[in-house]
Amino acid sequence: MFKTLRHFSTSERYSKSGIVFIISFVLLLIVAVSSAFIGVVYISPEEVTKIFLSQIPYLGHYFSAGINVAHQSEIIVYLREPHILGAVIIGAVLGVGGAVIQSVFKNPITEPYMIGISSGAALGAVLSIAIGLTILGVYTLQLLAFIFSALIVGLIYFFSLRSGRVPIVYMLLTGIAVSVFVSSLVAFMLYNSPNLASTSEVFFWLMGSVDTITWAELIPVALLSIASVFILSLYSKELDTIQLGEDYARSVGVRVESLKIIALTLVTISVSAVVSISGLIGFVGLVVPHISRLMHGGSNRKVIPSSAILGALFLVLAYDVSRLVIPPKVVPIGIITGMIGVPFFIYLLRKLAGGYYAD
Amino acid sequence: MDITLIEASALEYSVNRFHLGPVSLSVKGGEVLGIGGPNGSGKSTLLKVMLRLIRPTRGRITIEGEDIENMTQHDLSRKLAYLPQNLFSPLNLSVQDVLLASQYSLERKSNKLDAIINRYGIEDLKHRDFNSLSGGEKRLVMLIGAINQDSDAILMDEPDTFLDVDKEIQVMEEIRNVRDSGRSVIVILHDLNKLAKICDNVIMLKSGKVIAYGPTDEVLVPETLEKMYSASFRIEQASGSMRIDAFPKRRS
Repeated sequence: MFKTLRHFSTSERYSKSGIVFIISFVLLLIVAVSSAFIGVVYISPEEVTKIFLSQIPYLGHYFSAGINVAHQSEIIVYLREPHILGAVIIGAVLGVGGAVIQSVFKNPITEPYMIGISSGAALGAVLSIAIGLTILGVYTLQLLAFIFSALIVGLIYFFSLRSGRVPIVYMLLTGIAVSVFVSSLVAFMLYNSPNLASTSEVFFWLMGSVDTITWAELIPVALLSIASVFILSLYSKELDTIQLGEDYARSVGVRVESLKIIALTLVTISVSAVVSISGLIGFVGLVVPHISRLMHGGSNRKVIPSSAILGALFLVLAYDVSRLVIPPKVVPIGIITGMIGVPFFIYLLRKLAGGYYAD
Repeated sequence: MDITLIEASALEYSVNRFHLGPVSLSVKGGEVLGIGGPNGSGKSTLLKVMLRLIRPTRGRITIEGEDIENMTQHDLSRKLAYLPQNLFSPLNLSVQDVLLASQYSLERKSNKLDAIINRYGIEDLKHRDFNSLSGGEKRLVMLIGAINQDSDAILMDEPDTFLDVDKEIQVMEEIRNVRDSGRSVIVILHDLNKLAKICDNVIMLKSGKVIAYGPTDEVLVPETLEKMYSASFRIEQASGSMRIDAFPKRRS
């Protein structure tokens, strides 16, 4: 797909946009479904297909009769499916979050984590384990990660307020500064806490992993994510104008400050939600929007949906790799996204970008 | 058209050590008001205050009698369009995307866009990355965008910079067309001859103060200009057009 794209002139890039969308969506479907066939426990493709079919509402019981081993069905339905769907949702949210943050900040090297989401979530997660908090039930870590992530973003926004407006460079710098402070707190707790030494949960969380996601975690996160991404996609025109500068956006009639609040809130909610169940998966939010722009041009009408599809595709592929490198171990997916993503992106930049980022 | 469109009364704006104003002016429908003055005289700041991009410390601006402080961003954008000095698209918007952004506040957009692209003969630029355009092409696209916004007035910040002679003529022609369609233009120009050529009224600023304001031929006189720039001026009037020449200042 990328090879052919390299030969596109800019106007061809526009006319072939539709085909590229269809190809990437079909590819996502194929990759997501076939990922269920990969795993530590071998389950024959025939069985997997039967298990899939047995889940169809109303018609499923016609197929369930043929399933040989009940626990195989459980492996597919309770382990592989939520992990793969989790990867789809997380990838899509990180991709869209990246596209939106880059638009709001008018800066191609920003990503959702830079407004405090990652450091806040890490603080919440480490805190829950360090203190051994369980007041919020089995999902204390996830809930605290979500809450602290939102809190830190709120704090950064508040620190950046200047007479009713948030100058965006100011917020970026405040975000970086506060994140460093919060990360130091996290490091201090990690260093100092005997509770943390005995558990690998927090380390898995910090490295990013979709391998522990359950349906019970996934469903609320998926609902929040889908709603946020859908609403964000409705603002693609406004996000295009803000890329040209806030003054210009105001002059054509966009309510810039409300747009920033809406966009930052929705990105914070959705990215915090996915990070709370997966931990810190880096690189997707930075890179996927760029690949989308190289394929479709810069308008968010295309970049947002494309970032959702490509983010999902990228993360499901990374998940497959994470399960195949050193079986039966599953490598934390955050390690894979960095290790595969970075060389791939550098290759892509050199091959595709041409004069795109010349100055 | 004699109806006053924009009225600014006793505007003042201070930041750090710079103080602009007090500036009072009024612009009628179909009028071209030029803003002139040396660098750092507050021309762009005045434009931004009028666009409500900067809040004035004192004074107020009304459009058709309504205070712009009370207008929604949408309503204000229907009244005033902005042609900034420069536009940068860090995330690769195409020319088409930039033009779409300019008509954000308009209803029924897409079919009008193609008509406009055809009218200005920029079909070949339509899908180009806006940042890959030459300085002149960028200016032209921005001007088309500002005209396209279909507002009652366009506020232009040096629309003639970076332009080749033919493009410069085209820009001046477009400003006249805007005026002839009954819309107003407030335009910052460095070139005194261009001010003389297309403006009905001119306001001259120096270090934030109004040095002169009035009909073009009354403002652009040697005595005023010599107060503003350290040069000597000679002005020739011939068959209704004006020509301003500047010389090194005579040492007294």
